[in-house]
Order: sequence, then structure tokens, then C-alpha cells
Amino acid sequence: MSGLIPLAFAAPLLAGALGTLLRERRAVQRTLTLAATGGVLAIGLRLLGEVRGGEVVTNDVGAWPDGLAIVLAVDPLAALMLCLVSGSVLLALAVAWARGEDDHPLFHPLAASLLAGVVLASVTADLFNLFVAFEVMLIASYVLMALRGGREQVRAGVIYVGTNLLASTLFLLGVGLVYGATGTVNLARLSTVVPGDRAALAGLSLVLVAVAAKAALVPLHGWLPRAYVHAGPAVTVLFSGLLTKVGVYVLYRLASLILVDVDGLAPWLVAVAAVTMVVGVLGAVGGKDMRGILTYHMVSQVGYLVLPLGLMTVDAVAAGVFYLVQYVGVKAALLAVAAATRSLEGSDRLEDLGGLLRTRPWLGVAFLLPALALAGLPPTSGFVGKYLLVTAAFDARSWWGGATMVAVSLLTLLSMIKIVTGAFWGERPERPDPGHVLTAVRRRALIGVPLVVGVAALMLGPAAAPLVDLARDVATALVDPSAYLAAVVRP
Amino acid sequence: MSAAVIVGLLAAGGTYLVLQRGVVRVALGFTLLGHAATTLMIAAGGAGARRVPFAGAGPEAADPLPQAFALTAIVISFGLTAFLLALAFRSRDVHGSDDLETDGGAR
Amino acid sequence: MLLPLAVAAPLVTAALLPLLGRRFGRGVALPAAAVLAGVAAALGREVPAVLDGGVTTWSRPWLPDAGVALALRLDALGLLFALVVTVVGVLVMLYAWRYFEADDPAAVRTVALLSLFAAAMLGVVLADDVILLFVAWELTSITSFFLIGGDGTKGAAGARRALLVTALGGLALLAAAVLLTQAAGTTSLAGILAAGPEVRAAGTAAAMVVLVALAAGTKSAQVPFQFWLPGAMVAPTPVSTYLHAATMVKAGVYLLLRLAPAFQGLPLWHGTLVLVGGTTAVLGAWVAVTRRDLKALMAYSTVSQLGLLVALVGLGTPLALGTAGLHVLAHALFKAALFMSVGVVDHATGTRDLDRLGGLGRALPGTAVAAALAAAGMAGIPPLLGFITKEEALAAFLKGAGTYGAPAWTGDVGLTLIVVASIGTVAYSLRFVLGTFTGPLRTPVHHRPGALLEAPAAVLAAASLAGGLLVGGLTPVLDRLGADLGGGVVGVELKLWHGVTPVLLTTLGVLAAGLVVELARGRLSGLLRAGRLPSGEAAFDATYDATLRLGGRVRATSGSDGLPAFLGPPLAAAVGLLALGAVAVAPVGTPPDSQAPDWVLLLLLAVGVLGVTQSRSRIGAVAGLSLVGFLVAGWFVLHGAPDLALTQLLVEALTVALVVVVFRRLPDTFAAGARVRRTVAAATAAAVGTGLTAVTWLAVGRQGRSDLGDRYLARAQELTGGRNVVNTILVDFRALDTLGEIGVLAIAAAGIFALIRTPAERPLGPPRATPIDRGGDLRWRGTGGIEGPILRLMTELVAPALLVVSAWLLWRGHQDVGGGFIGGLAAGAAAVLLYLSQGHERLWRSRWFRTLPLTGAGLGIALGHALSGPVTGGAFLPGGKLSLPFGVTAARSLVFDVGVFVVVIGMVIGVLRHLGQGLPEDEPADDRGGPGDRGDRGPADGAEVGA
Repeated sequence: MSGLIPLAFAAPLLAGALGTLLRERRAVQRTLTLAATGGVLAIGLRLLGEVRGGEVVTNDVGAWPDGLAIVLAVDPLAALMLCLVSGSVLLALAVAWARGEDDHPLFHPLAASLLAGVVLASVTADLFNLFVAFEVMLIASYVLMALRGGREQVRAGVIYVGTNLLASTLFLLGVGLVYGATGTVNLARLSTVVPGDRAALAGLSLVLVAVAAKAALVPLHGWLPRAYVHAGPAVTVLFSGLLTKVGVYVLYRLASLILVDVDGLAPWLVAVAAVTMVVGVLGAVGGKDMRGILTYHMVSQVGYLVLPLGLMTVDAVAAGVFYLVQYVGVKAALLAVAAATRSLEGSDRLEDLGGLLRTRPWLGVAFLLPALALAGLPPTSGFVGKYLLVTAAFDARSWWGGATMVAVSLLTLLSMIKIVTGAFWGERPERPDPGHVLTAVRRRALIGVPLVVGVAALMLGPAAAPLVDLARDVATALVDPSAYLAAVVRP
Repeated sequence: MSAAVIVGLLAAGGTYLVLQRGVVRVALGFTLLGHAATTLMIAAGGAGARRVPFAGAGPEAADPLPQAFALTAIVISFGLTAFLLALAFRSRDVHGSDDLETDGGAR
Repeated sequence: MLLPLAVAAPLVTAALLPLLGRRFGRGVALPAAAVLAGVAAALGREVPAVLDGGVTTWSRPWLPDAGVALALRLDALGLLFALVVTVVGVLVMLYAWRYFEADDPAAVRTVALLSLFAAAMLGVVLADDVILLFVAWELTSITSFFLIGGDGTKGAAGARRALLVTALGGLALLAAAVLLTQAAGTTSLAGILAAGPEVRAAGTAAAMVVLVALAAGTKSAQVPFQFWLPGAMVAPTPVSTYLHAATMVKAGVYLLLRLAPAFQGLPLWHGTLVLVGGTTAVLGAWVAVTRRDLKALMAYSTVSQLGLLVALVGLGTPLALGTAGLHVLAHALFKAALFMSVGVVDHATGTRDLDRLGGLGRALPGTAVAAALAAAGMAGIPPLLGFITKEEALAAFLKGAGTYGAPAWTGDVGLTLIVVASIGTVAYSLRFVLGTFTGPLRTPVHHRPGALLEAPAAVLAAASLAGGLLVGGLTPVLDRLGADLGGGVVGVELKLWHGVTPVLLTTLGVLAAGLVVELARGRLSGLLRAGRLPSGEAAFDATYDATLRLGGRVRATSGSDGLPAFLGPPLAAAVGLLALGAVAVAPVGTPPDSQAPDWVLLLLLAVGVLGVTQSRSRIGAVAGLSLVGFLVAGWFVLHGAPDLALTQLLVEALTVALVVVVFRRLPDTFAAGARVRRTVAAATAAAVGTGLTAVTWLAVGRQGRSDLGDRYLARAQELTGGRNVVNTILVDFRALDTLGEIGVLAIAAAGIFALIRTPAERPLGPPRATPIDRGGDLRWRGTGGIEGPILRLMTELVAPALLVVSAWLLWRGHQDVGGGFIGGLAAGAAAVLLYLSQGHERLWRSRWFRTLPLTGAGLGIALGHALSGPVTGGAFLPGGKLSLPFGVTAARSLVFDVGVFVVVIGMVIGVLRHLGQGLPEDEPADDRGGPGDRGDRGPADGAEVGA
């Protein structure tokens, strides 16, 4: 029984509520959001320390007996997730501040609410409550998406909202079927009942479609690249660390508790993951602007993250978790570079750019380091993640899975080369410079944020061991969820 | 039986509408889909017992939990529909119509 | 500690050089050279020990779980390559110091990258962990990429090809490494070599051979991957000399030599390498003969020589492997010297074109001599080292595979190919020397190279000569390599004169034939022109472009503006799964009974749904929608859910009001979609409907009430004091759901606010019904929904009554039908009336009767209740009693319900206020906050990627 768990949800939600009341006081809003996010990070670290050994802390909200309460539970993965999402929110806030995107009176309240939804989705052990958490997260993202209400924001917003609304409806229908068949929404109860109950499975499959759509698994991925490129650049950074990652997180949770016991599912998971990798990377290769390339890579990377679920060995899942942690940072850094480029050069379209390595060497470094990591090149953290994944796949005799990852990383490299040659090499085409005038400190922040993350990604290669250990602890708890089940199950 | 048919009927109507042009009709479609979900939720509680679930209503009382779920779902989907309609409203301002489809927006 | 220092020193140097660059410019080459010289000296001291079979190792754990370590190992092979890397490195650095103009910005970048490359290359040849080897291997590719690309103005294409080709090989190496690790059970190279039998016996052995060959073939420019090497020649001469002649291209050969013991005896291994290497040697030499650009000539000559080395490794006898090692050394010396000479010529005359060169012997005597010596070594003319290694190579092939596992044919086939290649080598060597330094002077020297620029080449050429004269000293190296790699005794004494042997005769024949070819070039030109390598470059570019086009097509799939393109996949998935479920689910328990009213309701509902879906007019659609909503509410009543029914009715009313508000700004009729689309939509709808019906029928509601439901009914009152179990679930047991839900409402309200308040590219158009003025203190006319005194009077009476009722609903919720939502929605309805009728400016202007304050405050109240628990040491969202004034007590959760109540009111007001375009919610001050983002304004962004 840990009282911290609900606080991790309440803090950002409260920050959001107060932020709407004080929407003319930007400084206060920033402080509130930062405090709440920092609070989530602190709680996450604290809980991670508690559960690292494999035990699970829970909270029956309202302390109602007899399983009448909603159960929140934190295992190593959930704790890690709290740290991860709060960390990436901090990055996004920095970028938003540097670009001035957080000057919108609702940016901070919305960002805080988004975090609240993500946190709840990460800690809840109740299927219906998970639906609610998703909705909190999504409505906040809908608004952030269309925040500036330009033509393309509205257009993309409708597609984004429409697709996710359908997914949410399927989720709800699925929950209804599951409850109708099993009479419970407690994940632990479901993990024992569902695999053997076809009616419940039919319901759960609808839930899975919804989660897969939110995780942007091919062929349910289209909305992501279509919509993300039209959000504010800092908003894209925010989304990249949170939305699809929650989808992936829930897939890990469901896989660990339920899917692993469903016969004949594993090869399908591997296949979907492989297709997702390939389609995503091809879309990236075809991109013509930095964000367009990077957003499609999100799809591709989701494939990397989901493939371990088809193998479900400790090695594979550990590799997936390690990959997730380093990837969230790397992708945030790359999108931050794209955001910086838009601010400094007025565009992130390759055809508008050139010679940045000469004119803005630090921006170049800030891009190259995470780019190497994304392409899985040594000595970066990305390489370690790729190596662990490939080894795990081969060890699990998943030759095609491993081979696909290797091949896809070549195409990833190609897309990164495309950016390097297009934007950082050569000559900048003649065009009026619509770059925005930023104060020196904001400009430094804009380049400094990705630079710091990039250096971290570089360091995390040679110094990967501690994080690999952590990933193994997380994976062990997922592959054998008995502790989670024991802690969460209610009569 | 009737419950299942009603769920299907609402879902079908909603599906048809969300595939039409024009954000408003899409919003109407999601309203219907929402109805389908809530009715399914109630059906999931077992359509047999139909007494209002107050304390001491006895064995004939309906299952209260799905009702709570459904109520929450109704309100949530109202919030989302409202926002979608706001988008339609906005698109009228920036696009001149709530029909945002053009030919091949492919980038 | 020697090994880690040897790698770290140039690495650190590379990091520091840019800092020095500001002040010293190209001068930074000197410290770089000094560092490499130090490393070379330190390594040199190990030679005697290593030749006696001594081995130095150093290791630190890296990924303990995966058994990967930062392990280094110094043996004969590693030392040989390390010395080549460092010694040639020193000379290249000195050369670069003079090669670049004093003010050339490229100088510092190039030198720093060269130093980084040296570190990576030392990592390759010293690594004792196959993963570490891969890491260093990739680093050489990456540094090569940036060295070729320069500042990317002209080198981009060549750099891209080089990196992608070598990266392809790198990934092959990674896969091979993982497979080797699996087979040998360790990532240690020594361990893998020790586990040779297991490796060869593994089912994946063939795959390993192919992957390793692919890795080496790409790195060492073997056919058909040779094309990247000539393409890399856009790089400045120091880079070409160091990476693309002396060291990096030899990494592939190193890998093959290193792994030779593990694969020795696999016919696939020996056969592949001999054939690929021999072919590459012949084709490379052939093309080199036809080149007129000296750098291109040298590049293809390098390709040819690498082919020879690969073929030697393929033969796999101790003599062949040892000779390969020595020829690596010989080639590094003469080829580096040749590249430097070409650079000098280029530097002096401004051209590298044989047609425009000639007679430079007099102008550049030093370079001429050095180049001639080096070329003689390349052609295999005594007494240079190149002569000896070439002779031993021929000897090895003459001896044949012997008992060392290679198929018998490899000897003869290899010999034939190598002889042909050597003839070509002699020809182009002659051509280079005669064409450049003899004959009439075509292009005069306009830019005299300093002695310091010419010196390095001379040093290398001298070394090449000395190596030949004192070759006896190399015999122990040959023996050691043969023993380490070939697992046998070489038994050859290296000397210039073995007497008249078949080998010598072959050599003489080759020299003569080469001379003939060169002299008869005119007549043979037709034949020579036929010398074409399969143009990998064209193939590469075609693949590259095709990939980009494919990528474009993939993007197009997600580029549509239409929702169906995005709703299709999830709907299809759902239909599929529902069908699957309908087939798979076996019904259990008793089907839920249906009563007559259900069926009536069903029929009416069908009418309503048809109305919404089929009506062309917006009004018709709204009517249908209201009917459906009303019927659903009725259905809830039939199923004992009055709270639900009431909520449904009120939500429905609000939704309809909303839709009407939006419609007022839109045409009266819908845009009719294409017939095809309607058909597809109808089909999908039918599929979804039937599937869902089937699964619902089979899967749901057959076990009656769940245990959980029973428990709520049984314990709700005792635990919460509430009689309305549904309400207790909402505000007590599962208040967390409700908290999230009002969060959704509040955020949605904020979103509506943001969308309507944010200035668009085009200013907001007024609703068609009533013009509105967004100014601050105008005379406000409501939206004129309700006219006429009676109606107005009604609202005057009804609205306040509704407000009272709503409060009452809120209060009794815990016990009876009602609660925060229903109360809030009722209050909202009251607001609707007040809004539609006129004369309530003051109310609507008040500071607190506004959306965001209300939603924010309501959410705050609810959270306050939630947190009041932990603050008082209780649970989050606590239960319990609350004592009010006048001795009234209520459930503590009433506070929470009040929060809900307030949020809902705020939401309703927001919907009307903003969508209804009533009064501007805030002073203009608020608009400032709109898209006030200093970054790009909405429009700019909107236009951005969209077009």
C-alpha cells in the first residue's frame, strides 16, 4: 500500500486545474507544471528504488474492501515508465520555452493534464480505469494538437481525433464484452480468466486493436505521421515521449499478463512488429523534411519495441526495455533539433537547408550524436540496444526478426544520411531568412537540450551496463508476473 | 437478443456516418457509436435483472457496475464529441466548410 | 596498459585538436604525428616478444550480462597491422601538414578526423572481442564518411555510397559476430578461434562464411562492391593515402586473416575467397591499365592488390597467410608512397591527367625517384620488398592448397588469375612512371612543392627498398604469422636470390608480358577497353533512387485528407476479429430474455438511425439524432438505469443544442458523398453491425449479475451510507474514474475555448443567424433564440426553478436518482434558457460565470476532496461522513460531487458561450495569449508542411 501512487496522478492534474485558473500568469504556470513533473519524477525514482527487487506496491484507491476499489499497482516497469515520461516532459517543456510555444495560456495546463493521463495509464491495474486514463491523455493531446487552430492543424486534428475516437470506442466495446464475459476488470483476475475464455478473448482483441492503434502499429499507424508534423514542434517532442510509448507500455503489460498465454499469438506479434519496422523506415526514407522523416521513424521504432513481445524471453524483453529508455531520449533530441532548425532557419525542409554543419556546428553535433544512436551505430546507446535486440532474436531462433532489424537499421542510416547531406552539408539555397529572432539564452537552450541528450546517448554506449541491469530487472518481473498478480488480484 | 441487435444497429449507423464527408456527420456518427458502447455495457450486466440497483433492491436488481461504467462513458464521449464539433466549427472559419477532404493531400 | 593507451592516445588527441586548431591551423598535424609516433615506438618495443609467440592482453567488462568486454590483445597479426597504421599515420600527418594551405579550414577538421580514424583502426586490429571489433570497424566507416564528404559541397555522393556500402558490410559483420558468439559461446576472439571445431560444425557455419565474406568484401572493395573506392577519391590526398590505400581498406583483409583459423577447412570459405579475390585482382588491374586519371589508376590498382590478398587468405596455407601479412606491409609502403607522389604531382601541376602530364622527372627529381622505386615495388621488380612478397605469393599458389583444407583447384585457378593480374600490374606501373616523369614536358610546374611535402613519399620508398635488401630479417615474421594463422610451419627462407626456380621464371615471364602489354597498348587498346567492371555504382544509385521512390509511395498512404483512409484499417481489423469471435465463441449459460417493449423500442430506434444516417438535410439529421438519444434513454429505463437515462437525456439535449449552434454556421444540407463511397460505408457498417450483434449475443449477459455487482449491492450502503449504488460507485468506490472523466470535460472545455479564441488566418465569420460584435462593451443581444413575451416569461420562471432543482438533484444523488452530473447538466440546461432569452448581460458578464474558472475550480474542488485524505493521513479519495451546519450530515464524497457539478456547469456554459459566439469570454487582453508564440504563428505552421 503506497500512498505515493495516486499522488503521481493527482499532482499534474492539479497543476493543470490551477493552471487554467491562472492562465495569465505564465511564470506561475511554468512553476506549477515543473513542480508537478518533478514530483512525478521523484515519485517514480522513489518507487523504482522500492520495487527494483521485483516486489510490487499497490494502492486500493479510497481503501475500499472486497475488491470494490480500483487497484493501482507499480512494478519495476511502471516505476521506470514514470521516470521516463516525466523526464521527457521536462525536455519538451525546455524546448517549448525556448521556442516560446508555451506562451499560449493553455499550453502548460494541457501538458500537465497529458502527463496526468499518461501516469494513470501507467499505474492502473484496472481495465476500465485504463480506458479513462487513455481518454484524459488523448483529449489533452487533441487540444495540444490543434492548439493554434491553423488550417493544417484543424485538418490534421480531425484525422487525429477521428482515428483515436474510433480506437477509444473499440476499447470501450471491448471492455464491455470482457466484463460481460468475465464479470471483472481487474487485470490480475483477467490474466487468469481471459486466455481460456474465448468470449473474453473476443472482447480483449478489440481492446488490443485500440491499443495497437495508439501505439501506431502498422497498419493502424497512418494517423501518427499525418498528424504529428502539424503540431507545434515542441508539442511533437512532447507527444513522441508519451503517446505511442504508453501504447507500447500497455502492450508490454497485456503481453506479460495475458497475451503470453494465448496460443499462436507470438508469431503474429513478430510479424506485425517486422512489418511495422519496414513500413515505418520506408516512410522515413521517403521524407522531405526533418520532422516528416523523424515522425515516420517513430512508427519504425515501435516495431523494434514490440518485437520482443513475440519472443517473451528475459533477454528479449530486457533488450526492448533498454531500447525504449534510450530511444525516448534520442528521439526527443532529434525532434528538438528539428524544432531548433525551424526556429533558427525558419524551416526544416531539406530543400530549404544546407551547410548547417559549417554555419551552426553545435547544432550539427546536437543532431549527429542522436542520429548515430537512432541508426544503431556504435559507440552509442542505440547500438547497444540494437545489439541486444538482435542477439535476443537470434538466440530465440527468430532469424527473420533479427534479420529485419539489421536490414531496417541500414535504411535508418540512409534516412539520417539524407538529412546530413541535405541539411548539414552543401550550400544553403538562396532564400530570404525567415528564421525567428530568439534571445541568446533561448537559442542556447534550443541547441543545448538536444546536445546534452546526444552526449548522454553517446556515453550510454560505453557505460551501458547499469541500465542493462535495470532493464533485466524490469524484464524479469514482466516475464514472470507472479508478484504482480499476487499483489493486484482481488476477490 | 434485442439488446444485441440494438448494439449492432447503433454501431452500424455510427460506422456509416463516420465514413461520410463532413466533420459534423462524423461527430454524429461517434455519438451513435457511443450509444452502442453504452448499451453494450448495460447488456454486459445481464439484461435479465432489471430492478433499479438501490441498496436492498433484492435479486432482481440490475448490475450497478456497468451502469456506472456507462455513465462515465457517456459523459466522456460527450466531451470528445463537443471538441470534435468545435473542430468542425473552427474548420468553417479556416476552410469555409466542415468538409476538409480535398483530392490527394499526399505529401 | 600499453594497449588501451595505444588506442586512447589518438582518440584523445582527436578530441583536443579542434581546440588547438583556432591558433595553429594546419600545424595541428604535428602533435597528431607525434602522438602516433609515440604509439608506434611503444608498440615497436613489443616486436621481439611477440615474434617469440608472446601475447599481451587487457580487458575491462562492458556488458557483463551479454559477456561483452572491452578486451584488447596484441599478437603478431595485430602488431603488424598496428605498426602499419601508426607508422604510415605519422608520415601521412606530416604530409598533410604541408599538403593543406596554411589558411585552409579543412586542415584541422581533416587532421582531427584522421587521428580519430587512427584510433578506430587500432581498435579494429587490437580488439579481442568480436563486438568491440565491430564497434571499431563501424567507427572507421563513419570517420571515412566524414573524411570523404569534407564539407559536403562535392564529396557528398561519394561519401554516401562509401558509407552505405561499408555499413551494409558492417551489419553483415554484426550478424556474423552474433552467430559466431552463439556457436562459440563467447564474444572473445581468442575464445572463438579456440572453438574452431564448434564454429565449423554449427548449422549456421555457411551463413557465417557468407556474412564475413560480405563484410570483408565491402570494406576491402572486392567485386562487386569495388566501386565505392574510386568514388572515394574526391577526398584530399592524405585521406586517400591513409584510409583508401594503406589501412582502412585492409581492415577486410585483416578480418579474413583473423578469422581464417576458425573457418580453415570449409571449402565454401576457401573457394569463395580465392574466386572473389582472384577475379577482383584481374578486373582491377585490367581497368587500372585503361585509366588516365592517376588517382583513379591508383585506386583500381589498390582494388587489384586487395584482390590478391583476399585470394591468398583463401588459399589458406601457412605460406599463403604469412605472405598475405607481409604483402599488406609491402603494399602499404609502396601504395602510400605512390599516392603521396600523385598528390605532389597534382599539387605542382594542377592536373592528374596522364594525357596532360609528362617529363616531370627533371622538375621533380625527388618525387620521380621515390615514385619510380615505389612503382617498381608494385610491379614486383627486384630488389624491392614488393618483388619478394609477390614471388612468395606466386610460390604459394604454385605449391597449391596442400593438406590445409582448401579444395585442390584453388591453387591452379588462383595462380592463373594472379599471373594475369600481375601482368596488368606491371603494365600500369610502367605506364604511370613513364607517362608522368619521362618524355616531353606537357604541363609545367607552377606551384613548387616544398621538400617537406616530398619527403614522406621518399621515406616510404626507401623503406620499401630497404625491406627488399634486408628481407632476411622478415623471415621470423613470416614464420610467426604462418604458425598463428595457418597452424603449420612455413619453412621458407626469405631472400632475394633463391636460384633459378619455377617461381623466378614465372616472375620474369610476368615482367616480360607486362612490358609487351605496355608497349603494344596502342594495338591492344580495343581489347583493353573491353575491361569493364560490373558497374556497381549504377546499380547502387538505381537501388538508392528506387528506395526513395518506394518511401514516397509509403508516405502517400498516410497523406490523405479523408478520414476513411485512417478509419478503414482499424474498422477492418475490428470486423475481422468480430467475425473470428462469432465463429469461435461457444455460448454458455442462458441467453438474456427480451420483453415486448424492447422490440418496439428496437423498431423505433431503427427508424431514428435511418433518419440520422440517410437524411440529406441537417435538420432531419438532428431530429433523427434526438429521437435515437431519447429512445436509448428509454431503453436504459427499461433496464433499470434511471440515472443513466436522465444523464443520457440531458447530454442528448446538450449535444443537439451544440449541433444546432454549429449548423447555424454551415449550409443547410450535407455534401453528398460519391455513390461508391456510400456503398462501401454501408457495407462496412453492415459488417460491423452484424459482427457486433453476433458477438454480443454469444458472449454477453448470459451469467447474469457478476459477483462484483452483487458485492456492490450488498455493501454499498453500509460502507458509504449511500442508497443509490450506482452513485456510490461513481463518487466513492470508483471515484478515480469520475475524477478522470471530469478531467476530460475540463480539458475539452479548455480545448473549445482555445479553438474559438485563437485568431485564425481568416477572422472568425459571424453566425448566419445574428451578427455578433466581439467588442468589449457593446449592447449584447444574446443570440436571439427565443422571442415573444410568453416564452420569455416562461424562461424567467423556469430557469431559476431549474437551478433549484439541480441543486436538489446534486444533494440527493447519493441516496436517489441524481448526483453531480445530472445536477450539473440540469443547471446547464437552465443556463441554456437564460442564454437563449435576452437581458442577462450582467449575469453573463460576471467574472465567475465563465468556463475556465468554473471547470478549473470544479476540478480543483474534486482534487481537494481527493487529497484531503492523504493530508489527514487517510486514503486518496476518502470515504466517510461530513458534518454540515444545522446538524446535517452528508457523505464526505458530497464535496467531490460538488466539484463534478461545477465542472459540468462550466462545460455547458463554455459550449454555449464559445460555440454560440455569445459574449467574448475574456477581455481582449486574453487574445494576446492566443497564439502569442514567439516561435512560428499558427498560420506559418499551418502552411508549413501542408502544401
